[in-house]
Amino acid sequence: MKKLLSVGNIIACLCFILSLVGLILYVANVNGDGFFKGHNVDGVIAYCVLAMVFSLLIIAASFLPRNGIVGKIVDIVVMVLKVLIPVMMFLAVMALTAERVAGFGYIFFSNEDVRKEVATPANLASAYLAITTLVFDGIAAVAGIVGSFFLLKKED
Amino acid sequence: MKKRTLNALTLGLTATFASIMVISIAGSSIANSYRTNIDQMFGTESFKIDDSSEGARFVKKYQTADEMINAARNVAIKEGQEGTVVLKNDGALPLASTTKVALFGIGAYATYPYSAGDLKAGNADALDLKTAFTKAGFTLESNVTRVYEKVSNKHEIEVENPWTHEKTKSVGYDHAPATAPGDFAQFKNEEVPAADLATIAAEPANWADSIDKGSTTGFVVISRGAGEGNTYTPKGKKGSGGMFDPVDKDLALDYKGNVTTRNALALSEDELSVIDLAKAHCNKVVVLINSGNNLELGDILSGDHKVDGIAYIGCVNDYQLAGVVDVLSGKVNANGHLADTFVYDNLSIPASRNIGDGIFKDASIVAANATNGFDSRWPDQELGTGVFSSFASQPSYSSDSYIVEAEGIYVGYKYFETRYYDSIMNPSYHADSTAGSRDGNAWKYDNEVTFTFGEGLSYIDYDQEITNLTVDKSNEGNVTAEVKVTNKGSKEGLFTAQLYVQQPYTEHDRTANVEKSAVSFLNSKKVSVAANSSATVTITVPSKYLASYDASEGVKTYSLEEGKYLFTAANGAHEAVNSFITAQGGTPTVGTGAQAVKEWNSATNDVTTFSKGYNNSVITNRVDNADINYWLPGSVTYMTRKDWNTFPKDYTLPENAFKIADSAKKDEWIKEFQGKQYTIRTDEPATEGKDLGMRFGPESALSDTQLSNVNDLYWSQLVSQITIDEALGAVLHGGSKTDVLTNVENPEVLQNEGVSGFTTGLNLDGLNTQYEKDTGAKVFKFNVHSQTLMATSFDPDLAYEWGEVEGNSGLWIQRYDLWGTGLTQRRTPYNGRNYEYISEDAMLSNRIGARILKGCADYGIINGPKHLGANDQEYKRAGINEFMTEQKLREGDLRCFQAALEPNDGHGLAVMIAFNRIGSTNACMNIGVCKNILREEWGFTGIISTDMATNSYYFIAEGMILATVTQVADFSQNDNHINQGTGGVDKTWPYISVNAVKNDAHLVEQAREDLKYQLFTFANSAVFNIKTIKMTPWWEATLTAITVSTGILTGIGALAALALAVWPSKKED
Repeated sequence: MKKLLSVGNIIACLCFILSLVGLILYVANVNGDGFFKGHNVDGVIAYCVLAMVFSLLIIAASFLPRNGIVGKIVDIVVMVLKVLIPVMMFLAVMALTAERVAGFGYIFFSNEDVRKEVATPANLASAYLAITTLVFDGIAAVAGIVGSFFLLKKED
Repeated sequence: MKKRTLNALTLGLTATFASIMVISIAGSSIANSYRTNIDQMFGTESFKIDDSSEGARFVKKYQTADEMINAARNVAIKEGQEGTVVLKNDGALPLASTTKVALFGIGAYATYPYSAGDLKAGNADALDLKTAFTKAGFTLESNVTRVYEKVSNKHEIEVENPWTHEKTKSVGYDHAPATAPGDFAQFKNEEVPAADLATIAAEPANWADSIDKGSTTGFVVISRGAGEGNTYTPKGKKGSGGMFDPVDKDLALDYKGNVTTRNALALSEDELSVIDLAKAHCNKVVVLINSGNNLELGDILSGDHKVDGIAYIGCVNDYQLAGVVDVLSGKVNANGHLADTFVYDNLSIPASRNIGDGIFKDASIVAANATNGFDSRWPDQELGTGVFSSFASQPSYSSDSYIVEAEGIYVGYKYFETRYYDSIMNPSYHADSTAGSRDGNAWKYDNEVTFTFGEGLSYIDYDQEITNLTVDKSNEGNVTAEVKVTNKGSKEGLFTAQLYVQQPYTEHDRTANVEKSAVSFLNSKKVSVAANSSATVTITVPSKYLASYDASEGVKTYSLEEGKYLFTAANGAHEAVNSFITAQGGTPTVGTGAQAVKEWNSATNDVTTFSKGYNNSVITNRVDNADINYWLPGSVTYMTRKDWNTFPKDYTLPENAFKIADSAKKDEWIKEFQGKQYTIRTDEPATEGKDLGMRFGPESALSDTQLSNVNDLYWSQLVSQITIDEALGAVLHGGSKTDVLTNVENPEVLQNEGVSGFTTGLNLDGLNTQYEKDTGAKVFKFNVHSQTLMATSFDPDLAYEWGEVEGNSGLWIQRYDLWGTGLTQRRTPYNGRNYEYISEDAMLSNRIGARILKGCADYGIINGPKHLGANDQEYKRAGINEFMTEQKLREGDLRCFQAALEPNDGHGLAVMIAFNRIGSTNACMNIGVCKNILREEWGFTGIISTDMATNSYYFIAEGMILATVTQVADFSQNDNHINQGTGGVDKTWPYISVNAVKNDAHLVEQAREDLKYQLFTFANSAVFNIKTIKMTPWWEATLTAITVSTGILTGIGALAALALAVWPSKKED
């Protein structure tokens, strides 16, 4: 129980949940009605899934014996994963941003005539959902950074 | 610090630096794509223009900034002086200098457009109507001014940017005309009725009683806003169902939001109450029409609301009102003329029967899904058929909506005047039937038309007469008419000579369904004539515009038929028609004016001379499938003058809707809807681009031959260097800013807007201008033009002057490429962009457009008119099928653009294609129009751009390339590659990749050919006057520094963390 409730594991859990939420929001965004319907972004799903997998691996690794060489290898792998989690989520954030920014420009910053045509309720909802996705992915990434400051607990 | 703690800290920092590095690398890529936008936001520059090259090909005409500014202001004032049209005048105009002026109506205090933006410059010394009258020496009636200033309450407002929270100052009004009607929305007329003025202004109810009636002339300004994506809603059509039923939603709201009994383009009850108020308290009342959309003026021509004067002032900009007042005061003779026909009921216009949308009964058979089968280009993607917003990408072919332009060539006056002519001269054509009559009775001209095309009163009585006429009917020949203009008055004045023609309507025409208007405008010219004297002007127009397009079997080209061609010079189309009637022994029944007529005889049926275009290219049918009868024979009867009972039926009604599956050519049709006209080949290997060491820039020493001939070997060799990846990528992602091609290193060229001129201002810092001293302004904006007043000036020479000013302003602000004029035919009064266009008449657009473009081209500015290809309505423009005959397309919308783009006439260097379909083919993918007609027949070698191509399922990559589009408009920059998606595919069209196209030499070579036109255009423009010097703005330097530093720190951190992890810990004692 102690191993499960270590700070590192709690944060890894949080990363997993936030990445999953980000993924769900993204899928909802590209499948739902509105401006971004069908606007799939390459890599986002992969980045989120990888971050989730890495989070689970970190939690699983906390239960592995870490004596001797095997322990050192586990420690190093976990360290790499802890660096990769925020990197994956920031890659997701930036990939989404790159593909969404033009749409945000149309919906929020066009001149009045264009905005009247494009800022429909459905499009606005789609845009806000995209922003929410970015926020969750960003928080997952920050959580990943925080988590990287916590190593696996040493065995007694 | 314990080793473990240090290790954790190191790891955390490594993760932090790695994350920041990822953000900065990805952020740099995003920032690079939006470099121009970021530069604008931060006020930085990514490249500097060096235009100091000696021996520059294009040189400024105006050597100082003050000269440039004054030239812009002067041409704008002239637009007001020449474009103001006096339509009615019962002794009200010109104003005596002692007359007091009372300005009524909220439009008098916020004359449209009243906010700075694309349409209005908003310079520091911009004039409103009050100031224009005051500066002209008139006294304003203070009671009216006081009350209306309180009602309109112009004040400063702060507008907060919702994202940056930055607050900028803008102008607000409590009551001002609506700036946009919406897109088939319910229009809200913001006019405040007379009864509410006292309450709102906190004035006594009898405030108007103190107006000195005897000495006051009241001006009531009636305004209508407009804009992109807007369409005025017609009121219900009589006895019909569908979207135009006369229900409340089609009627306008008043300023309180209550439904009225009026449609948006009729004068509202509130506006009429204001007119009545003016009538009650002023000696004379003049209504000023401040609109780009034709209003229904019947209420003020007779009866209770009849006024003493009506003048059209269009949509004004910063300085035009000075010119308008010059006309109202008589300082300048009234010399403007209407560019459109005004009618009692806009629904009596045949084109009005078919706007909006019909929906194919079985539109869903086009969709890509499990039932119909998926599209191999998007194998797992369901694609619908609905037409959505022009700016949204939806998984849809945008194919389900259509209109049928069943009116054919009979747009505007060509309908009304031809039917009038036939009612007198050809009774067997049933011109007086009830079909199309606005009140259900026998059709009568004066029951339908209030003011006609070309009409305009002059304060000074004058005559115009053709004294000499020659017709050179060779392919490059001209009609040359010498017109004597006689000033019968006692003052010098400016007058307009207008040239009209009647072509013979023959038996062949009636059999082959070739339509001929009874009167057609050809060209016009302004002339200043001294009192009691005459002056002769020469009006020329290419003879090819006398020919008609005959799409019938056995002809299929332009035909100059045997018979009599009648020419006259007249004050408007109706006077011209009356002249023809009189000359042919008939008696006009409406109007009395009739001028002398000259006759020219064509001895033979000539189907040869004008069957050849530029460079002897063949002119033949190119858009047979734009006619719905191609797909569904006999389904539509286009209106024909031989039987006016063919007045169009409303094909948008559900009971008249078409069924795709009924077509024998269903499969071919579905391919058009889906943009599948072309299948990418796999058996013809393309040659990869090879660096031949040829570079392209202002330093390139090009010979005259190379500069004048796009087919010179130099250009083919130059573009052969472009890789397959960049050849397609640069066309498909080339909008907004042309990117630098590897192996070519062409200059970067930024695109600009708009129709009223460059919206980028001239920074006056350091220029020491008188303008800055006088006004305190630090910037002058050159978008000071009024397209509506240019149109009603009927002055191609003024159009050239504006083109010169526009071109020179580009040289001054170092911008060389803009979407700078609108030439689409005004098919109905409802199109919200009519204010950007010229006229219902193709030849007026042709002549004015050509001179604007020539003025710009003479200074090397790439001015691209828009939107070629029948952008006849904003509603569902991104996909609507527009069915029409080839004659209608060629003699209508295309003719509006033709002269502007031909090298021997306007010499325009660019064009933007419409969003809609021509027939069922996306206009941007229409090879018949873009390649065969524009490039081959017209000899156009310039840039062809799409409008914003946001729906990649409607704008098909290979289709646009094959139609010789040189750039697909998008907002991104530095993306002229295919391989920007995952796995090397195109990010927008994932079925396009180098692998997918490398065995289609036809497609790849066409893409290189398209880029050839772009580079050739740059070489013949002021782009080649300049050098582009790249600079690194601080934000880019910062991002680079962050990337490098975090990269290093990540590496150090990772190594440190690894070392700490593997290094054995010290055992504690």
